[in-house]
Amino acid sequence: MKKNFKSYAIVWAIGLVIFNLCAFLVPSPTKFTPGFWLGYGFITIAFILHIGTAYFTFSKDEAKEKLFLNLPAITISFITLICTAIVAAITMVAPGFPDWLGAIFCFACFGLGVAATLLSKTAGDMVSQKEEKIKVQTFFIKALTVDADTLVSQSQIPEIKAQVTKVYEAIRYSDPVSNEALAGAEAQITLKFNELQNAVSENDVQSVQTISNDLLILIKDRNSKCKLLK
Amino acid sequence: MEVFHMAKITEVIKYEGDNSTFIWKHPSEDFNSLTQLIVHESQEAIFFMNGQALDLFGPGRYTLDSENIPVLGKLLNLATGGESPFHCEVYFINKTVQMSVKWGTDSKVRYIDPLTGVPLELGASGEMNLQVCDSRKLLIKLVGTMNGIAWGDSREGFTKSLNDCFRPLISTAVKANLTPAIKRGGIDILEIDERLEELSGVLRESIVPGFEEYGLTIPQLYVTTIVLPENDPNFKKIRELHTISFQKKVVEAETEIRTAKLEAEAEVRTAQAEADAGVFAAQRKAELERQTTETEIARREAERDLIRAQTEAQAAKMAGFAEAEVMAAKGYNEKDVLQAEVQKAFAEGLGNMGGNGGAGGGMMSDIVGLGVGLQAAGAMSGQLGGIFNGFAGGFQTPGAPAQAPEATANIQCANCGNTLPANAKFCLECGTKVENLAENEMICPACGKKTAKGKFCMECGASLILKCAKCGAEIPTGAKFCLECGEKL
Repeated sequence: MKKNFKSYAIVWAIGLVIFNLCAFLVPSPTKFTPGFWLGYGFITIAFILHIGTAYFTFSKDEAKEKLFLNLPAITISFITLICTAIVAAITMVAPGFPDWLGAIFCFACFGLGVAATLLSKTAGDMVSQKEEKIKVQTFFIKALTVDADTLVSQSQIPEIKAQVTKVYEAIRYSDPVSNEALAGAEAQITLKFNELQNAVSENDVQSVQTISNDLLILIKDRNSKCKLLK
Repeated sequence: MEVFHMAKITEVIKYEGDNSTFIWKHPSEDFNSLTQLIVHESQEAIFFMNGQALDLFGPGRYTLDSENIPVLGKLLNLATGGESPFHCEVYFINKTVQMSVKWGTDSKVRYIDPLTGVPLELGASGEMNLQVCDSRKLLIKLVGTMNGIAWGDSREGFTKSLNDCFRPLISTAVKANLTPAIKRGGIDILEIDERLEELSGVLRESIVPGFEEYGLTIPQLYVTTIVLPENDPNFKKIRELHTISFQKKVVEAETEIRTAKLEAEAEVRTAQAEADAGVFAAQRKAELERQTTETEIARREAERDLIRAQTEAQAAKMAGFAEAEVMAAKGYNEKDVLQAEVQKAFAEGLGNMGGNGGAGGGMMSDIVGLGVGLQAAGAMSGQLGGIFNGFAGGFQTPGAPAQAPEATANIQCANCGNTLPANAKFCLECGTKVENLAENEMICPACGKKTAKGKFCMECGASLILKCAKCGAEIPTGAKFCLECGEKL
């Protein structure tokens, strides 16, 4: 990510240099007027804010998901930069354009952009939080599904395989969203599943059958409670 | 309206399909967080977010938490050209029982009749009730990304139907299990309609596991029709054989009925005869007892009379002896007595003519009186001696010959052969009534009626000639042993 930021920063710097060159080298009758400096100031601040946004987006070792969620912020800050640059440029170079009007437009544009950037960042954070929550809530069933799938592969005796497959299917098609109130039930399922793993490793058909039946009942009970707690 | 539309932040998601659809996807997708989900009592709903089947909702109203933030979500969509990257959708699952779903085999089922070995081709069809038992499984395994699924009709977005999916399963299960079930149950092909329930149960057990694997269950399965090959010559042959067999059974049944009826009648007659015999035996027993009692009474009376007569005779005898001793003491003998008797008689004759007959002389009176007494004693003692001999012990009068009793003609009982007195009316042993038979009459041993002596009974026609059971020789009447072989009769 830092590498990406460096590349982006270089591009940003080039953009800033080009702006400064245009601002100071291009002859204009309104050069160095209050309107000029107003426009120049807003554009510069927009550049700084944009690179700041880019820094917070690219510089940290964030996951791709986070990066994706922060993309709108960068997009909005870039749009803000462009819009502010346009309005500020008009203020800078347009002769007879009132400075106060230019200030208002620049500020509005800049302000909205900043607000939008912040809001998109907030939205991104909210989405990220929800995803984290979903991830935590669905972790138990997902992990158990993987373990059950592995157990099916490990089963060598056909009778054991059939029983373990039933357990796998029951877990696979269970409600993945857990709840705090289900902690007890899920703990029991975990214990029973460990017993099942031991029985499978020992190729004990009878035990596998008994434990599988108990496990199916526990899973069904857990799913019923899960539905009730929605 | 536009204003309200613009002010709309969230949505309301509820079922808008029909009752025959098993799974239906709500058209609204990528809806905002805080969207209201309403699930009906007969439904379930599964919330998909970012491609994952997450929450399963039962009946009620729920607030969904998607990643599409109201208003702000638009900002996040800028990176993706306005399209929300946070996909979410809701599937509704109909949990009602779908009744009378038709099923049938696509081709005939081959069947070999076990009795005749004749090959036949059967068809089977019926209806079943279908219900979703595992919503998630059905949705994930079968529906996938379709807009929904129903049993038959294809609707918009329903690229396949459950009928298409399960037809091979039903067809195979029916073909594989129908004929073994018929054979196992010993079901006659012509009476197969009687056992449709049984066949339905067998087929259901074989089909349900396949459905349950995909989240469906069959609460009831009905085989309503087994199509028989009416025009097949083999089937016609079986029907003819069945008719013949049926007729044979009818005849056998009728024979059994008649036999049972005859046996019952015979039993009734036997019971009646036994009852009559019992009554008769009881009557005879009572009669016998009565006769025995009367006989006993008569015997006792006779004994009393005998004793009385004996006593009187003894007394008369003793009186006679005493008188004789008196006369002997007086010096009279028998000759004197007889002479006196004659004289008495003459005197009585004269007396009758003259007057004074009776009082003539003490000696004559004594002798006459003694002679009368002695004669009376002699006569009486003879009679009494005979009677006494008849009872037992014997009673000997000195000087008087014991006269044998008058010879009475004894008779034999026709039933048991017991010897009976001539005047007996019933047998003392068996109580049989003694018939007063003439010399040329007898009692028929077969019917027990009086008949003339001869070779055959006039009443029943039975042979009256008795034959030995061992050698078959003729036996004369009254014989106790066979004349030829000596077998006891």
